Amino acid sequence: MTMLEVTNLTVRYRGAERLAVDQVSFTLGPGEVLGIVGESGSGKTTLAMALLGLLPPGAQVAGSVRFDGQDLLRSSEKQLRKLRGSQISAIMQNASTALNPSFTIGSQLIALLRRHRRLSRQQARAEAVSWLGKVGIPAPESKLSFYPHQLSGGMNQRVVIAMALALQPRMVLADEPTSALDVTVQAAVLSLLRTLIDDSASAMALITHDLGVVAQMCTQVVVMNGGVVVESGPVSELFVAARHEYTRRLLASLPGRRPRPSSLHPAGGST
Amino acid sequence: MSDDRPDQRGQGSQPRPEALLRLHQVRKEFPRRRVLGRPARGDDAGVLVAVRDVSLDVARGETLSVVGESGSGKSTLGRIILGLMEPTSGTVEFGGRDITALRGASRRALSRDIQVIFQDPYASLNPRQRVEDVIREPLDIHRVGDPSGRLHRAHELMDRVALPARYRRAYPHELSGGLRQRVGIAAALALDPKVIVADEPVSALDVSVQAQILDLLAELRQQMSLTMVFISHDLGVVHQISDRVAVLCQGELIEIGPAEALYAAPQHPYTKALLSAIPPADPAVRYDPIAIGEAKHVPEADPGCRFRPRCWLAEPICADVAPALSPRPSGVRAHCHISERAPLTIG
Repeated sequence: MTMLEVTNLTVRYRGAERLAVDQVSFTLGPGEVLGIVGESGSGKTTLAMALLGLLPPGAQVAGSVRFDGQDLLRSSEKQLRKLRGSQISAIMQNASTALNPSFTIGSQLIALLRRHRRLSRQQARAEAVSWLGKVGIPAPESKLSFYPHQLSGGMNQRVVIAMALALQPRMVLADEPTSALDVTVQAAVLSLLRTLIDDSASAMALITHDLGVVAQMCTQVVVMNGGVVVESGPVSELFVAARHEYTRRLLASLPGRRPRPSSLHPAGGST
Repeated sequence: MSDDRPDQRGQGSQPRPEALLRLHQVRKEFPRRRVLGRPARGDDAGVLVAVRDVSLDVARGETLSVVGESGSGKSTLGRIILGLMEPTSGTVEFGGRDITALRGASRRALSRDIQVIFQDPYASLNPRQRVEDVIREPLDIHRVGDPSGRLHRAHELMDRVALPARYRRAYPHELSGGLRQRVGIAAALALDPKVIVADEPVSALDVSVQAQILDLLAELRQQMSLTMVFISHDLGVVHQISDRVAVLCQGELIEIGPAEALYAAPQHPYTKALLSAIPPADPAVRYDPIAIGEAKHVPEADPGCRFRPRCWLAEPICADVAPALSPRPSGVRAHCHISERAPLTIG
């Protein structure tokens, strides 16, 4: 069953010579996690914006992005607003910019819940507390009155994840959700995302530059380079038999796969 | 100075031969920020210990990586080595000479020997200077040779870091991140320094570019017999470039040793957790990170191990006595009662 079907998506920004995204196609079904891999300028962020229906007005777009049959590229702002949050949500890289610094995290989460669902204040509050608990925030009730600056980066990113998942969307787009986090916090956030996706049978599109994250989180992967998908398929195949030269170069850049230069002289003396 | 000086019987009293750079009991305290006029916390007299009595040395020609998460004190330590910040206590020696309190002209003279490469070449390069001028600026400041000689030297340095000559008159914004970092490296090398402190030099770069810059640094250190202190949050990145690795946790040096030994069998639970948290880039390898939670505040008066609240191996002794940084059979030294009794194993 296909939930998201991207067909020949092509995007050109006004005034740009090059296509930002060139004839990209893929599908995504429930329970699947698609890794979108590429370096800066590869078009992965443009692709993400297209999936959210958030391309700037100046962008020239061809092809289609169908979510449950509805073409997001040809939907009105009103139709899109209905989808965003409740059906499609996003986890952005930087929690400190995704959250509003002037409101408590409780009020942001409660406002989101009440905007999309018929909940009383008390119900929404209880729901907010339960979501903060689910994303691993200790003593969630007491955190409702915290402002983002009172929490660590890792905790704020958990709040962002709670907000993205609280409406139980069917598809989550995560743009480098852990790359601003410390590695131990990243580990916790990845496990959390994995569990939440598994439990809800949602689909996730995960943009990352980290092939380790792809290997551990994703079922499928598309590798982008210069706006073009240079490689796509099941994750298991990518790591065993990458076909495209660019993918092989990416794999070869991984710390674990690079030989230590033999010329390095050994550590001097005792330690 | 505090009483818990775990390093006392480690490196501090047994200096390795040929140490070019030596830190002895370096400590840095910052006043805790007050929130609305009130101290942030009631205890600890409003002091945050960013670096806690760290002793270590770096041999001539060696690359030592200093690894830790945000708040570990790794950048503060780098700034202290560079003389950009004065430690609250402890000393920094360079070539046998105490440079901790050097100021003014003698400090500036020293900056020829100790240079820095910053994380973000976007922020550290003057946007209105052309590439060749960025690179020759250190030569201008130190009045090395005559102007045409300096320009010539700048061009040589560009060759050395594989920056094509067509970029000589380019501005930083015309360059990609990787090329910009090469400019930063060339400028750092201009004065023929003996020590390079590289603070997260590749973390702003794309993965394949990271590899190129790491290769370049490895090559340069070889050619120029540089001594490097490589500061990073990423144990994966430093693996291939380090001779030795030092792991900082909440300001404390908790493990140090030869890279191979430390990666093969870390002897501090924190190092082990850090390594386990790196997602293996192989779907066939199971990812099983050890959960240690976030850093927790431990009062200064606490007599025990400061990692204890996050440690899954903690025993009663860990609450009572702070461990010392002591040697392990593998060649590393670790700050842990548990692994002192029986070395930690892999897995």
